[in-house]
Amino acid sequence: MKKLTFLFLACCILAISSCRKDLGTKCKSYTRVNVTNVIGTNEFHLDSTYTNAAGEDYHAYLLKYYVSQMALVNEAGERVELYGHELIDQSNPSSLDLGNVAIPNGHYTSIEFNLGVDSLHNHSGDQAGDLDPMYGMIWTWNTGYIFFKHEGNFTSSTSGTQQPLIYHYGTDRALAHVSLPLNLHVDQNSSVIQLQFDLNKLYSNPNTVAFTGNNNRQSMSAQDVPWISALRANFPNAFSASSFVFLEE
Amino acid sequence: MTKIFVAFVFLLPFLFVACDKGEEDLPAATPYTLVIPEGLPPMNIPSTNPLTVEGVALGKRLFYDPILSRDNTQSCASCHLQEFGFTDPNQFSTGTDGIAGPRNAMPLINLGWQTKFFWDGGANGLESQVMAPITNPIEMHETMANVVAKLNATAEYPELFKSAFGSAEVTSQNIMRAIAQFERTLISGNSKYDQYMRGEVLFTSQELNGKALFEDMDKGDCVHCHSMGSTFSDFEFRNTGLDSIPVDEGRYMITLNSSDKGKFKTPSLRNVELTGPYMHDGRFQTLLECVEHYNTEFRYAENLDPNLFFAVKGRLSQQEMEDIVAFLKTLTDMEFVNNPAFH
Repeated sequence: MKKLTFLFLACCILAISSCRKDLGTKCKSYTRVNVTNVIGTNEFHLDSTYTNAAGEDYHAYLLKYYVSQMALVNEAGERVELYGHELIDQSNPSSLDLGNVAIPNGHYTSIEFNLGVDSLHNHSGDQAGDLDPMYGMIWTWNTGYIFFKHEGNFTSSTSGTQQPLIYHYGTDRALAHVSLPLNLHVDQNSSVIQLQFDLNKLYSNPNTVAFTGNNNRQSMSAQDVPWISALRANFPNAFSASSFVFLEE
Repeated sequence: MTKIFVAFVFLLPFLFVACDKGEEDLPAATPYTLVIPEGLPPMNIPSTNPLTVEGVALGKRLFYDPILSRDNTQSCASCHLQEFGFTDPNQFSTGTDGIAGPRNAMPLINLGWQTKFFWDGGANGLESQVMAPITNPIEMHETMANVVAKLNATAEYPELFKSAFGSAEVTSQNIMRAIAQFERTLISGNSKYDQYMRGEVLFTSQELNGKALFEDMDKGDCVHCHSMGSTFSDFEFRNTGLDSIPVDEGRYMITLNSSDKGKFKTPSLRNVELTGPYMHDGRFQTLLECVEHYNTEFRYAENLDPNLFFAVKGRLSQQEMEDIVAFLKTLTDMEFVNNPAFH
């Protein structure tokens, strides 16, 4: 049985390498998107203390968000879909690697996606994959996905005390379209697209979002609408993308 | 290299055989024949969740299983009791943490004809609706992730999910789908009203009079919203003037449209004799109180439904109100509340 398993694995490897040759003849290459949450030029860590643009010290013990309908756009303006709905969870490293996708060889000038879940998918919990309600990214009393969740603490600028921070961002009006310039030329070799999300930029560019007096936002009341608008405008500026190609064989 | 390739080609048929065998071991679930009583329209069932015998049975088992709650003490049936038309006879239901909710539990009758669920319509589908009572902290106070883990750890559930959905892995999606399948079978269509409409029984003169008043636009005008047929509701959202200033903002909490303040879903009237207390907050104990509300007691609230705004207060006599109540009681379906298939 073990021998059989070994043979099977060997065959799988062979199958994959022959697939890769197939891709070559069809003029396709593999790319994959890797997401890194950052603060400035440093990788973001849960539990590390950071300072936002409003001068408040804060940290997050939970940072999760959906990116959906991610696509590459080539010089001719043609879209190549990469992924469906992907949940990025800082506490789950495998969620940061969105996986291999075969794309036609060519020159790609931008990558675009939505921060959140489009309205066609946003109002049913009867879904699998990363939209599975078991990930806790859904409002069950008013069916809709929580697009972005930041939970943690911060130091109030008025009282100087540590207070809880609960940001649950969502509803159809919150969907943010992100389009980022890219300079990716693929020709048979595999490539990686690095997508960075800067949490401090989300709270500063262009709208400064201070936590003091604004620390419990769950998107469901009319009072949350200005906060949603501010973050929706900031999201496209909080992401950046770069790419590199593996020079192999 | 060539040898490995030969081995691979040699093994290929075995791989396929193995796959085929797996599928052969798995008998497809048996389609469930939903019997729609005469007089009720066809039911729209999502193509992603066709009813199966195994799915309905699994849904029923989940509906009655307290494993869905945080401390394994409450099931759906704790607050949706069949003898009361699958609702709670208490004004407010009490959750696992001993906290009472702000709204009266809704009856579960002819749900397959509805498109929005809860008093405020917060769920668009029967499947999605399932999550809310499970996860609400003042109801069963559990997480979907825990429910999935608990069910996967049981000896029997993975087998039941496999027979219903083809996979022994319990998922939140299939939990929702199974319970929704069971709920679609909760059909009431054999009340005295249904038998009368089919020409099988006669109404008393009081019931006949009540029916006429129910339909009379200048009298009861109940039919405006409680449209007759499968559900006795149009399931629209309305402010019925319960309060001048609504305590519970209702539909507004979902839409944030100010014109929705104080609006709630028109509930079904099927088995209404059994489903009290009444209104979204269970404020009325008797059907006569409800009719009296629409006759004279309603308030001129902002967003008051136009039909009520133009209704003349005191248009019904005491006798007429009692006649309407007599008609409402013809919607009681003892076959439904005693149906052994539902418990």
